[in-house]
Amino acid sequence: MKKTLTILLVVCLVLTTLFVGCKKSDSATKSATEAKAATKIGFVVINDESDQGYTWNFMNGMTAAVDKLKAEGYNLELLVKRNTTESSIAKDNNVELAEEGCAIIFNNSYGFEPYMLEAAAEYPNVKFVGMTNCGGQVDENPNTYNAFASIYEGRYLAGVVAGMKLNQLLAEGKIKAPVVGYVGAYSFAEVISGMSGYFLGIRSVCPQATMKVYFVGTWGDATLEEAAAKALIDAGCVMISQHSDTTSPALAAQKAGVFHTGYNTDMTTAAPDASIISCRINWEPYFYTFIKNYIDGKENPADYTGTIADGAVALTSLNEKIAAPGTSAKLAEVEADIKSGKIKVFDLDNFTIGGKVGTNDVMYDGFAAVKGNATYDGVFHESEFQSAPYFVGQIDGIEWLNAAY
Amino acid sequence: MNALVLLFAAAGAYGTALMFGTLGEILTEKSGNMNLGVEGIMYMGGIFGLLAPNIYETAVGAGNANHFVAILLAMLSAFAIGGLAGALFSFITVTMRANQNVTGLAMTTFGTGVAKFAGELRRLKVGGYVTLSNDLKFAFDNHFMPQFLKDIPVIGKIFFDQNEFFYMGIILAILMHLFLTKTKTGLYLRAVGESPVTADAAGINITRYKYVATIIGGGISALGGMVYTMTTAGCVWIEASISGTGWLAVALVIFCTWRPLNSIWSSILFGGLMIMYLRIIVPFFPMELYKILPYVVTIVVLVITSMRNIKDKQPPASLGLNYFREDR
Repeated sequence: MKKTLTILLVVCLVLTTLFVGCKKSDSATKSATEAKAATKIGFVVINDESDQGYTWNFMNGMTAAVDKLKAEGYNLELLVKRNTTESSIAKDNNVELAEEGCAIIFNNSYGFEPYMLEAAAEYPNVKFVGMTNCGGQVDENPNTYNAFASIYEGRYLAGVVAGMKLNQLLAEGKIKAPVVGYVGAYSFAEVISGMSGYFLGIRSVCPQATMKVYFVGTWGDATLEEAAAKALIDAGCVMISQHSDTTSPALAAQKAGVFHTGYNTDMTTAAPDASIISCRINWEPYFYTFIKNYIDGKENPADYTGTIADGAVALTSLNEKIAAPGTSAKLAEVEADIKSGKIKVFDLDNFTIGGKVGTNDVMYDGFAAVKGNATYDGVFHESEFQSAPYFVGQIDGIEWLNAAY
Repeated sequence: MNALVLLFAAAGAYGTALMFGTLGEILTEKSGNMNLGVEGIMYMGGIFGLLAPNIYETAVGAGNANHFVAILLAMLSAFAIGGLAGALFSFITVTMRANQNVTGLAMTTFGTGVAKFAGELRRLKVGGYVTLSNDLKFAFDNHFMPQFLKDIPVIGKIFFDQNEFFYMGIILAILMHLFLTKTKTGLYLRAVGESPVTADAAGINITRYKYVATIIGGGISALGGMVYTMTTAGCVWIEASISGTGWLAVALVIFCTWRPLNSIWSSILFGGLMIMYLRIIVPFFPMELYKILPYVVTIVVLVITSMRNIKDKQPPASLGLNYFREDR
């Protein structure tokens, strides 16, 4: 009885493998003919769209770009590797996508790049793009690229909104001192550049503002971000902002009756009484142009910085219910000034470091892949030498309550 | 001094979630079932505890939602899903006689997956954050104690400036303590956990006690997940938010030596240790050391209790072992 059962099972298994084999070759021939036409785009992402923050923002940009190109007649197929951790899994995912025939593989997190570069060396015919980082443009492989956006300008604009709100609260006597709290992730240049841009935006309308920063040591953790926001509020902060992935700081601000500006996503639906505006990077133009250039046979720059003018830096809709009166108009005015070059975010006249005018040595990140003298003409030129931010100056008025690497 | 007070006051919210998780697990472990699936159960409690008031509010319209009904719905749905998970665990370990550790770990993965799936499904349906209207949000994290109590120095901030679930947790801990030490059923439950052989010989229905304890314990743990989502995460479903809390609860059960009353102060202590690096900055003390403090403390407690070998501070003797009457 047992013997017959075993033989039966084995026969079934063999038959199934045969059938599977058949199907595979069918679809293999089908996809082979299709693959000649369809360009495969790979995307390695940290988390997935459910974070409604960082990766969701990236995926929105990517799907919008792919849909736009498809509408123009390009034959594309998007393959996504979600929930990739910043570890050797990133390399495995890059390799898998390359094996599946992707022509371009985008990586969306800072920590993926070392692993992506390893994969890039093994697949010289595939293009690898490491966003937010800077190693791809300087390594010896010509198939690696970097990209980011001048988000510090978006931060500056968000800062203007925050500063106007602070002025309103001061005028109404609701707060004693305009202290701003910032929930940062790591003490990297990307975070420091963003928070400094934000602070300078606030200072441009509210010169007596000061800022306190807590670094939580991770890009996104609801518990720690909430605890950091609460700690900042207990330390007297009345405006909270963040460089981290969850909505906890917005909710903590709302619970405490203070205000908030966000990042990556519109948080006004989560905290309608606290969140005024958020800034984010719009990746669609970059993805669209990069993929289109590739298919059309044109070169893509090894490093690319999207600006406000390109539409790469965007602000989410202003929460008019709680924004200070006149914010909308002021915002439009400042945005036009930044586009025209009349306002420079890191204008050396507007801040000091250690009591003195900032010098390149104290402001330029020693860990940047591309180094240079960005301090000239009375301005620190962020995102000019490389797209990944490299401003690390510790501006007077910003107090670091801890550090995290 | 003030920083310490503020630290433990802030630890209250996260500590409450831990407290519920721990209390549920204590009840389960007292019966001899070691349910390592607390992480999965808390995750599920977190999402289902949010989904119920969310669906209720969508049905009646924002602004028409009754606060008590919303809180009740949240608690009931979280408890129900936790109870179901506990029943599943019991079925697999008690009736099907599978290994408890393996089942618990499988339940963690399963629960996390179910929770993330449910959350994502709702997020796609809603087309945005899965959350409640501001009106309901305040109902859940309501520090309802009168101001004069909150103004008492030191104790006021720590004990009276907390949300309603904190006090529910304390009452639950006291009730559980009374149940376990002063009632006959509690005594039988402890007997089942210590020596099922003896209890079986005395005519106690082992299966029933294990089932009921695990179901109710699972329900209480799931309430912890609900408390986390509604207070710390501010009534918004954030995908990876609860991760790690369930494991902390398992560690906490050991830390408070399986006694419900200990869970009150130990969960606040743990909550405080978790966020200590943000409040009390000691120069040169690396952040990573702060973050492992809660776990180091747990290991120290475990070592001390096993060294001193005091009878009533030991784990239930048959913890983690399935009972087979045939082996008697």
